[in-house]
Amino acid sequence: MTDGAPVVPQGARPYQGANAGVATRVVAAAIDGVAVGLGLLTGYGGYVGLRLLLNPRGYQLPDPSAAAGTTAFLVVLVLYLSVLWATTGRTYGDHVMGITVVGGHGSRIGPVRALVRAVLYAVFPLGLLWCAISAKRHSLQDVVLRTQVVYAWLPHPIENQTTSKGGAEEHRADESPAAGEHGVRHVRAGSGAWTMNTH
Amino acid sequence: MTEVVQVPRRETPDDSARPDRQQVVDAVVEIVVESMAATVVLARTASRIAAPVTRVVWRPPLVPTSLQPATLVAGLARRGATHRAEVERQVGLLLDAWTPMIADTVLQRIDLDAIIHRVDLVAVVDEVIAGVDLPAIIRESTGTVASETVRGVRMTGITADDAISRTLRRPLFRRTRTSPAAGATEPMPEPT
Repeated sequence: MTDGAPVVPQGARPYQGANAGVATRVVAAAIDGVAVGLGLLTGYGGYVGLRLLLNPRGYQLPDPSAAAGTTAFLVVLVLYLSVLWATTGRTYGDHVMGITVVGGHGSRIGPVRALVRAVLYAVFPLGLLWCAISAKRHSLQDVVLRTQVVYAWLPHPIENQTTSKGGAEEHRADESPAAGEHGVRHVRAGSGAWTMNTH
Repeated sequence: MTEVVQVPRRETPDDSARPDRQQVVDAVVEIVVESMAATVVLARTASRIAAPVTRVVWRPPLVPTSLQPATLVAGLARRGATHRAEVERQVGLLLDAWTPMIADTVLQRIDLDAIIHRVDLVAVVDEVIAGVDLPAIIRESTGTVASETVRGVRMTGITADDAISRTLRRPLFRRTRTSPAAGATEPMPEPT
């Protein structure tokens, strides 16, 4: 978020790599929904302005139906989620809340799985609430696709998990309580805490 | 058609013929430095040689302590310090009394408006602003505030996750399992 080396506060380090709960994920999803809505509105405003510029005399304000608006929203949402999950593992909402979508082995999910996951979330967003009662904090989409969402405040924990950067001393003895039943090993180096999922 | 013109070469002056100004200055500096070093050495040597004599003169044996030069000089210094403090106090009082009057008199004779009009204040302010990297300062402070806010939101999310997990799972699962974030049973530290 800021320039310079990102720092995970002491209190948050034990949680890095643990599965994120429903509150964090719902907030992240809400941020994504707002972001997509704003993007859609901006695009629509640009489209209307362009039409007005091209044909100022015969211009009529378009009257889009609710179905068209909903469809456009869902399409953009699916594109947004799938592209970001497949490329960076985190959407803007995930980035704000410090969580990342990973596969069963802690690796980044592929484009197909990201697309299917995005479609499932767009079609049935209530499946997210299952992580509130799931022992492993998995949503229904996570259960179906074998994915999980972990706390990862650092932007790229996956790439850094096996290497020690900048000569930082690395040790894996930190079996934090936050890892708990998820079997998430913590690799703490310097000011950051990187994670490795052992499932 | 291009015509080639031969340019005569300029004769380079012979530097070794006469000493330039820089050489003279360097030589003078070197002489001064060497002289000072020699003076210091001489002073140290003289002080070392004269130390026993000075000690005897300063604290002569068989002379009562109250009559020794060192004691007398110390007494003089004490009295001098008292007088100095008194003089400083009186000078301070005088300055307090006279300075405002003098300043008023001087300021009445100065046209401050004319002076200010002479100064290009806009140019001065422009120079100061150019010297201060204001965008960087704003960027840095904004980034820090944003970073702190994001950390706070994230920590709140983690705390809420743990609270919801505890609240929902106990009634749902009789067989208590370890919380995914069992650390939440401990008080959460404030984000730093």
